[in-house]
Amino acid sequence: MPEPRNIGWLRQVLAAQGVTLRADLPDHQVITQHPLGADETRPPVASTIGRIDLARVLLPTANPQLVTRRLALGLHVVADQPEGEGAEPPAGGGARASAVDWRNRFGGNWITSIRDQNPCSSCWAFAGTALVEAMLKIEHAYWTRLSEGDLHDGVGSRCADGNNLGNVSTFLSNHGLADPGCWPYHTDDAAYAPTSDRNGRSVRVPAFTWIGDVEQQKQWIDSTGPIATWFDVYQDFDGYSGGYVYRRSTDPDNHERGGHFLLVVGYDDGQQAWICKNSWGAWGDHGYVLVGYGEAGIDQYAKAGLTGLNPDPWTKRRLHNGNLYESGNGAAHRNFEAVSVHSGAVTSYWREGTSPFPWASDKTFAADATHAPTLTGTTYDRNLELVYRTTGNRLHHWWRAGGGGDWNDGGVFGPTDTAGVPGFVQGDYGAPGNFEVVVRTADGRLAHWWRIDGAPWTWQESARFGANIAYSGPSLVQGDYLDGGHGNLELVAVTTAGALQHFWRSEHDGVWHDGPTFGAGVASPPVMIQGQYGMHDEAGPHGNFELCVAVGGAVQHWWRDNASGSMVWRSSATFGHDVAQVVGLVEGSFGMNLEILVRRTNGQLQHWWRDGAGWHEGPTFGPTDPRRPVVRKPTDVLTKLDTHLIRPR
Amino acid sequence: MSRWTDGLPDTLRVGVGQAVVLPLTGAVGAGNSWTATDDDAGVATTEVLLAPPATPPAASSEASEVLVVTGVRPGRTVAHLRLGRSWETTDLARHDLAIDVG
Repeated sequence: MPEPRNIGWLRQVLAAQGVTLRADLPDHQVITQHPLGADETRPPVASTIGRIDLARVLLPTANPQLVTRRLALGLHVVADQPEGEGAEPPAGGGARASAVDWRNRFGGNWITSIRDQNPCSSCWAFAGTALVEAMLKIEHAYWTRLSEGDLHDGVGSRCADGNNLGNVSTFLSNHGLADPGCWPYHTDDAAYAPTSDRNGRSVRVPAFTWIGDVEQQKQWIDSTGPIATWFDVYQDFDGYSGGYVYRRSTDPDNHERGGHFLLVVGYDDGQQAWICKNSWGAWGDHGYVLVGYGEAGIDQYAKAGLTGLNPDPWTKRRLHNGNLYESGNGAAHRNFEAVSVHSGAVTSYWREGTSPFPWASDKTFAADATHAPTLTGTTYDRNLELVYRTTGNRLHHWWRAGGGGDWNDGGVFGPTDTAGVPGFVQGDYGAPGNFEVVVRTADGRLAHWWRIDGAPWTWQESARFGANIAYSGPSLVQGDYLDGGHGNLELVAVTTAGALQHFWRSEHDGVWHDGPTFGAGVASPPVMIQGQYGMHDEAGPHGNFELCVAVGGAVQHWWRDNASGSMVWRSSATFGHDVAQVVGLVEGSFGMNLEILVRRTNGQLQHWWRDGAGWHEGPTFGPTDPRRPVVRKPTDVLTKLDTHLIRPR
Repeated sequence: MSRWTDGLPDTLRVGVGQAVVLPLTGAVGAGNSWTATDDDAGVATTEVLLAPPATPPAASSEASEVLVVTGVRPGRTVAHLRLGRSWETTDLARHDLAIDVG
């Protein structure tokens, strides 16, 4: 620790130069310093942590590349098996990689964009947020933008206050982390006032794992992801400009400025350096710095790792549609939830997110449904909510608490001449966001309805648009094309000519616009999402639209090239057999695999998924028409799974 | 005026051979630092000193750097203070300090 500096010290320094300090300043007065960004509560000293049992600490991952790495490192656990694979891969015991850089690993980037904490001393909030964002991409395969302000102000810090990773871990594990729409980053010490639906739009975060041993820190980076670190900043750090490894100058005039937190996104034994993400905007090497091993206290304290994140429904809202939804439930926080209709009743199903991925039925309710409901997770405490067309040609809303329990009747609404499958999303108008529904009516048009986000929860018709519509489907998306601060509503429906037609509505004029038509011979409802293929990071470019629809007993997969800006719909693949209708589509945690549910011609549901090798046929489940559903217990199919990995729902 | 320059005087008097210390509200956590340039160093000199962490740690304070103004000979000069980042051209704050030495 540097010597204390007070007025007495300064008086001596100046006296040595023949200068007399003004006499009215008391010698004992400390020349105070704000401690950069990290306060004096440093992480645990590295040597006090000892080695940890990585194989025991690490949770199952759905990241297929990491499964391979863990196998090579001998860190395999059974529930890490990739989706659809049943064979037990051989255990390895190989050495860790000599260099890892999560900015360019397994063929892509896993780190969110560089941010700027300026002018606040909030490096700790930025390092913590960057860690959560990176681990969501690695563990759950999606980009998201979370709020440093939610963490900074939630902890109760002012702009000038330093803080520490221990407080970050405590806050995140107690309260999670929300998005900027809930509470953004402020630099004006605004009183913390997140939106009322914060609990339903927060990523749930376990406590950090402290890793003291430098070799194990590298193993963690190789097998799991980035880690957050303390670092002593000296004056010469400001001038780092990239292209070399930072080693602090030993010039006595190069004073320490205080502690700082960074995110370590990799390491390079060849250069003997950590690869670190800073939060000073376009500083250094495009926001990054290579810090030499052991330099400026970087290895003196334990570093913080994170695993086992539980994503929220809000930041994944564009990644699912129809009757299939990937929730945060289950041991690995990636259970599938599904609903289906048999003889007017709705049955909810779920699939455990770890091998061997058993499907099980859950609850049966309602008696007036005509076909598979459109299901989503909402910011109302992670509720599951659904809408379907009734036998009386209206729409019916049901909801269930996110953690389980019975389904509750949300009431009947909508046009009296409903004649299609509804699209249903929670939008970004208000917080909690309004519900938006678009459905075909008997006159061959499309009706847009919305529900306000508070009592009396009134549903209202907003518009009718389109013409000669034969089928609507769960193909309503509020995408990330922002206009007036809100995402455009996007929809694809089927015309009476058998083509798919894209419609969109912007905030700018509030009018639904006719978009292009594509495809032919379509005679069933389409399902559409906005996925994240084509994105470099959470900032863009726009992710592609993905659409699946049944044609002639098979599934056609279409996608619109948003990432390149061409906006052209392209046909990707035709696959499957005995398909009556595609009812659900998800881009989920399993390495951005596309997952669909189809209703087969015999009434059963069937799961298909697409990975890098193409589309794969999954299991069928549920009853054939017209029998009532057969309820299975998940334990019926738990033949290989470590049952301790399943948490009660 | 801004949060960074609140409390800084517009004018300062200092004797020849004397020094006056002004605490500067800093933003070092985000990479900012104060710099000072003098119109006439023959009248007064200015120097920004970084104050390392005190022992025991002081409560969080917004004073991270100090400006030492030393009188050299009688006269008037102006010190131009800038708070910003070395890699950026925009400043977080600027302040002109008139110094009377007598």
